[in-house]
Amino acid sequence: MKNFRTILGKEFRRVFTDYRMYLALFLPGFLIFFVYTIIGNVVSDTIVNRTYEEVTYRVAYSDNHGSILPNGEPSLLNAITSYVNASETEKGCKVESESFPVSELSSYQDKLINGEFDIVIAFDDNFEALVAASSAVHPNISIYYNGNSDNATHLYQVVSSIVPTLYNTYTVNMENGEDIDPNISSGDSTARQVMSMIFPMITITLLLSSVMSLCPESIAGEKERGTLTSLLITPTRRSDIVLAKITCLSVTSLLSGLVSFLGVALSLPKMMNGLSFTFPIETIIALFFLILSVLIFFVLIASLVSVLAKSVKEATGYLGPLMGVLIFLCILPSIADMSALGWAFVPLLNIATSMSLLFTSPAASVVFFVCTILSNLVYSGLLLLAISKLFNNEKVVYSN
Amino acid sequence: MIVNNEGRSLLLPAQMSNAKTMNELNIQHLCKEFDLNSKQQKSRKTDSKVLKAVDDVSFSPRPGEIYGLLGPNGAGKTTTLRMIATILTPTSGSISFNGKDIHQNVNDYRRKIGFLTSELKLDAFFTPDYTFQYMSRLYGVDEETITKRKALLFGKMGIEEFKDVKIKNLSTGMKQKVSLAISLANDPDVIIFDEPTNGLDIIAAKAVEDYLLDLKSEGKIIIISTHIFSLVEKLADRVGILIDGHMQLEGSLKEITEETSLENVFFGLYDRVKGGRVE
Repeated sequence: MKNFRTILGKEFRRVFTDYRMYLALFLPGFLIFFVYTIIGNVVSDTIVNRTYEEVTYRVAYSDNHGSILPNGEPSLLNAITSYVNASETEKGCKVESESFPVSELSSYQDKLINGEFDIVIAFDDNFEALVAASSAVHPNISIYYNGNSDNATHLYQVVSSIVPTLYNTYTVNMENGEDIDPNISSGDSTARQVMSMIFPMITITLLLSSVMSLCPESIAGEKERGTLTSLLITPTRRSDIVLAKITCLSVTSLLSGLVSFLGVALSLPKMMNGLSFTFPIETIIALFFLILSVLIFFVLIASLVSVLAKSVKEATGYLGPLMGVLIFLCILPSIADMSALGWAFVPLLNIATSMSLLFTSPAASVVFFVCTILSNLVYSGLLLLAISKLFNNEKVVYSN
Repeated sequence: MIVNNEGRSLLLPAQMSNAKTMNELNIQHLCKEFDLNSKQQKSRKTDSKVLKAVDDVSFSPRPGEIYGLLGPNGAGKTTTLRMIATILTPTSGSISFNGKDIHQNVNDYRRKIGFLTSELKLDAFFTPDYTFQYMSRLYGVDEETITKRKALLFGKMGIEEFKDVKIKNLSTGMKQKVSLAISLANDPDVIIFDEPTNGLDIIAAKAVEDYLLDLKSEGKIIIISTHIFSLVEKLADRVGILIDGHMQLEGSLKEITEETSLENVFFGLYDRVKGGRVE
């Protein structure tokens, strides 16, 4: 253990007294912050803050809503009109509306496609009364819009944001081809959906990048320069050398990953135009363990590749395509359902899926999370054994 | 007197009277084979999938003497030294130190050896001072001894003046001096030096030669490999000539050079083995 500490000390000294290493470690995080912030500002200026002046929005709604307002219109229409009148980005805009019998919904959908309306709203029978009575029955509201029209898309976004506030979404389901989870009733849900897609990919890519910038240098670089041989002729157990290197790489990569994560976390709200999100402490702790788990896994994979490679260039060459495969695995949970428990035993895919589930359905992800952590521990142990074995193999270690 | 692969030399060891310790290093029937891939087979113009780099080499360097391993490039000198330094494992044969196979307790043996080769490099980012301390700690040397050894070796090699300069900023000669000092940090009983004066200027080379003689008088077992005849003639007590992985000649320098110079002996052997071909 004494030699483990000595080598660990030297490895840290190597990293933290070299300004180039600081750049490699911390620059990506700062760059991410600046790039994402700039992208956010540009998006905000061009799309989110776009003004819709003197537009006439045409709304069709079914007449079965069971109005509780004196004018007989649905309260949603009132809210839309109030919003348009009050909004500074909708100067001179008007809302025209038309009611229709719910039995004619399909013909109004056709009119929507033909551009006669921007949005068509279909209520369940007696919708307003059921909402007002906080009934156990959850009435449905279907909203259709023509995605080819900018105005229609914008109006749909306005309506989507009004519905949960207006009706208290605990009692309302909203349809437009996609369901809103009645348990999530604010903009938080959008943030969670976005985070479940973005977080695994960005986090894993950032961690892998920082591991890639350190691992080949620490192992293949030492092999290439002949400094590893100097270490191997000393009376030091190979396992001490491997553990010291991996500990240092994990800690420094984690630091680098945290800086990158901070960059993402600080710039993401700007990128998402102020959408905020809150997570319970358990989710944050679970995320920490997942990040730690994936980090150790990456360090071990990159170390294995670096031990087998003859030079830094060769190691980087092998790790490049590997990164592509890993990123693909990270994207997979956002395009396909990977929540079956069996996927918890597929390395990396399990991490990406676990992260995704933590954002979308935290309660359902507990078993998946536990299986992910345990299986990754087993894989990491096996990789560690393999690396230690390779360090004893003269064909591999002295391949130069 | 010629002894070929039959264990101990028939000649008397030199300088034994000065030996303070009686360590014993025995190298017996050492063989090392390397696998060749198809590319290597092609470049070597051979169909064999195996390269025998060292073939049945035996010798026993003794305390208080310098053993010179002489041979052309590719003769197997470095491979032999690497096996003695535990970097490579012999395909067959044995190396024993004080009667015990060195692989029985390899770390215990490593504590007692000092190895220097041009392929062993120092981390360019650190200073000689830190590197000496770091390597000494790995050998289990206590802090007080590290300070004393550092003062002694840095003084002898003239490292003091650049001990705080990063190794990447040192000249080849300076680096070689630092490597030498570090290889002796643990006060080893067995010193294995591959081309020890390579890259050194004449003054530094002389200092190293003198220091090797000092170490010899302390009873250390010293093995040096080189292709410089004059260095062997100046330092070695016994000589082994390796050609094509075989120990072609082994004996005391005095006896080997009784009738003619070491250079003539070497080229006579080389011509006999290679049939007059120079490779």
